[in-house]
Amino acid sequence: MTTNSPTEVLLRVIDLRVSFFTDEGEVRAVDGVSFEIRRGETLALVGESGCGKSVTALALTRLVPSPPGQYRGGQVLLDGEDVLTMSKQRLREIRGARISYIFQEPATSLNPVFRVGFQIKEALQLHRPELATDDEVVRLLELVGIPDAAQRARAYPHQLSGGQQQRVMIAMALACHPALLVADEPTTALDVTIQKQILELLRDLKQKLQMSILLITHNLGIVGDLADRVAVMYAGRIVEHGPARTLLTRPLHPYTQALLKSIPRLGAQRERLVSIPGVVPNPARLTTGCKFHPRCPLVQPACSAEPEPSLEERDGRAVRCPYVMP
Amino acid sequence: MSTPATSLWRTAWQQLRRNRLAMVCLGVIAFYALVALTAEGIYWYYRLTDQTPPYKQVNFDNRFAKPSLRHPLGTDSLGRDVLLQVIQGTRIAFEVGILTSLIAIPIAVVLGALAGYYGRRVDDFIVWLYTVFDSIPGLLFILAIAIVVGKGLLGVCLGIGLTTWVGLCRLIRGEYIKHRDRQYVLAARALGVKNFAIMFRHILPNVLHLVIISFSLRFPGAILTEVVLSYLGVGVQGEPSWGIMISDAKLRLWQGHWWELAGATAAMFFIVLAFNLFGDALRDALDPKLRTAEAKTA
Amino acid sequence: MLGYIVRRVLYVIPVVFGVALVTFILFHVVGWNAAAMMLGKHASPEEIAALQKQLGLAGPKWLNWEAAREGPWYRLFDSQWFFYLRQIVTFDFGRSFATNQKISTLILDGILPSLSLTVPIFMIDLVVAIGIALVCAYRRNTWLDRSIVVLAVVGMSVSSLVYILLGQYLLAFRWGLFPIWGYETAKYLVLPVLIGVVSGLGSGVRFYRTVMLDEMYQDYVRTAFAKGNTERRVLFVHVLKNAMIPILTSVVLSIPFLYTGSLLLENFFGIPGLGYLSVEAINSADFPVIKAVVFVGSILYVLATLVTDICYALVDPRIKLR
Repeated sequence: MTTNSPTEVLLRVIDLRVSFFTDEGEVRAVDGVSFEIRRGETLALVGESGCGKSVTALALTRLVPSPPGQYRGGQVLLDGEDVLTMSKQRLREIRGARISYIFQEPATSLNPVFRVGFQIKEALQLHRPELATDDEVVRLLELVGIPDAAQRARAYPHQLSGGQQQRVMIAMALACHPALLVADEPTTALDVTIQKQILELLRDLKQKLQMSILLITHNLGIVGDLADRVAVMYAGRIVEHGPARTLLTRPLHPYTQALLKSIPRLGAQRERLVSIPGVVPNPARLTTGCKFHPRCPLVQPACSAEPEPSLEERDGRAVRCPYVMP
Repeated sequence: MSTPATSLWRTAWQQLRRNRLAMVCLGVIAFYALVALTAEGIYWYYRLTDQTPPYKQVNFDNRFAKPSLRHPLGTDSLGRDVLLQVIQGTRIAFEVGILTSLIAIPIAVVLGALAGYYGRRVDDFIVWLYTVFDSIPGLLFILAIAIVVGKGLLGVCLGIGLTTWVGLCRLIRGEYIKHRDRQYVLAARALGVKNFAIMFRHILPNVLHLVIISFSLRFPGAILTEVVLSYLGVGVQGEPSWGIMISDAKLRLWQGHWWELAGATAAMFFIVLAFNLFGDALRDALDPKLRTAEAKTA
Repeated sequence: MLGYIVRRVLYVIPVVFGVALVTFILFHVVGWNAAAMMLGKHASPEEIAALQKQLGLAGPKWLNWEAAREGPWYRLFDSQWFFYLRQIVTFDFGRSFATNQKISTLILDGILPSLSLTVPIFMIDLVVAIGIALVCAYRRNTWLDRSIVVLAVVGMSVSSLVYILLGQYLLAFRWGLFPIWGYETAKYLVLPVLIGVVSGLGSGVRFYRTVMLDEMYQDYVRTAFAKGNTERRVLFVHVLKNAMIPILTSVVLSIPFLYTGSLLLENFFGIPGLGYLSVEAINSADFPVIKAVVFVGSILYVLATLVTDICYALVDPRIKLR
């Protein structure tokens, strides 16, 4: 991935570290994460809940609630400009205009006491005031496939179905033509059929609007159609990274393998659903060595004795495990 | 990696212990409780031996004495020691705080449990009942009860107790509505456990923290109300309470005798402050969502 | 929404009936002995009986079976309970025992002075407390926020009586900034209003701050920030409108508090309102007046909650579903 010319790179995250300070001490939610997203590309960031993927996503525009969150180092370079150190004024120009978000729970992420049309128009007013008209709102709602858009614009969020709420969130996020759309578990709260519709919508829009997408999910099953590349996170670190197709067909890291096995598949009869033994480690008290070793099926004595392996890279793939080198 | 099974109470206690302010407040409360107990002892000793207790001993030669070593908080218009009266006031304050809770909390728990558990007509009736009680302006209602029942400690406690159960009752009702369809309740019902046993043996322990929080937050309210009642003349009769001291001090203040007011005010301030802060910490430790729950459930 | 409002208005009827019932039980069933209490130990049985009759405390309590059996059937309602209901409907609560004035007149005369004291306190308190709470939310977890919280808890731990005593002594008596006592011009109201505002501020600030901070951690706030809103706009547009719902609730909850607060203030500053009337009635054991003031106070409260609930429907779009 370093072989590509840097002009193509939209966003480069270098050694990002975010900690939370709780009663039990410092929790390193994101602990040295690096990746980049090129223009028009979709990167999927995958991992179980609590692995730090959502915090990484929020950190891209400094949205991590603080306190208890704190940025402990690293850089988030958007077109070469560091988001973590820029002025609040500059940050606001980026939020919603260059990078915008859709979140997991559309029901609570929309403001319950304002009409959805107003909430979309507000996004336009902030960054493209000349376009803040009812017509543009209706056009955006139609773009995301909401029927009877002019009338739906006057609805309050609770009057819409979950799928429609998420479409409104997407319309709001796209209002100002962002270069990067961060979709944080966009379908987790929705029914399976609606999930599919939303993912198809995202794929269509991506092609139509030529934007990059950072897709955050715990479900490796949904990344295949959408993602160009996949990064797998575990306990605040990236453990495997590579092109979507090869990573999904030939996972290297034992954790990635386990995640893939745990995807339920339609039609796969008589096959027991596999779960990963053990639980996500409590980030407040981490083990020594490889963070995954307590749950790893291939665990060796060296896994806990030696320092944590680094992310080794070859042929565009990277993995943080010395026993499964690509 | 699994965390040891710690009960709600133990985790809450651990969190409280880390909170230094809460621990200081608990210390203050314990100190006041000790003072109140001592005062109770003094009161009964002199009452049973039929003597005039020291806090009532009149000395006309020593009226309005400024604070000194012999009388650290000075003396009042009859030459009685202010500090000894403040100590007796602590006794009254604790009696009011505890007795009103003993009246209000059982009403709130029983009615809230019945309304939330049975729903339908029982619920309609109890909601109507507490809406009615809630509609009658607090202090006036308390005053009316205290007057009808008769001035004094009993009237004050009945007045405060019978009027302040509504808030807790609402919370308990809400919790019972949440719990009545939980699996464990359905399981108990399937086993043939009687409704009353389900309500008070199975569900009640799950909402008990609300009672504890309510107790620690209503205590300061009761103390402040007692002061107002005493000022209005329906409070405790014949014994020194903080309210009586403050209202007595009204005219003396204008003559420049500030110590009676200062003593009672300071004594009351610290215990109310300690209860307020400790109650907050307790609530945060036991149920952080509760802070705005009362407002949100409406 | 119309259906909701109609249902809400109709619910006033059983509540008012309940208030009548509770006050009746309090003053007629528990307090049946009022006449003897008012006249003192040395009254003759005849005097007590006469007063009982005058107070509507004579005869059977609920239904007059005896009279109905002897006379026409409607004498069944010739009882204390129906006498009281008639008083309520006709707004004629008889005469004051202490001054022999008509109670309805006393109450009507008292409402204006009371409102001239409580309404300014109420409005100023609301605006100032919400303003301070917004500052806390804006500067959350800074030293400013924390000191305001500490000050608020300290403020609410002081008895309202002490605020009044010290305020009157220092500001009016010692420094002569305000008149000490009386109700003549607006100038006389400044100090009581000031004291009322200060003594209620602590609990107000603390509550509104909790409400605001609770909202600050909601998902929709994150969305608002992600859109590029300024902190100020998030606070004043997004959070404030959501916070209006719990704020409205607390506004209702503070109405009875205001009434009780004015009880002391009116007494200390000689403002001839309902609070002053109540304290006088309590001091002279004037049961008819106390009963009427309690009942009318409840009605005002019921109406206030009604207005507030209708305001909910206007602020919160979700309520229309109910």
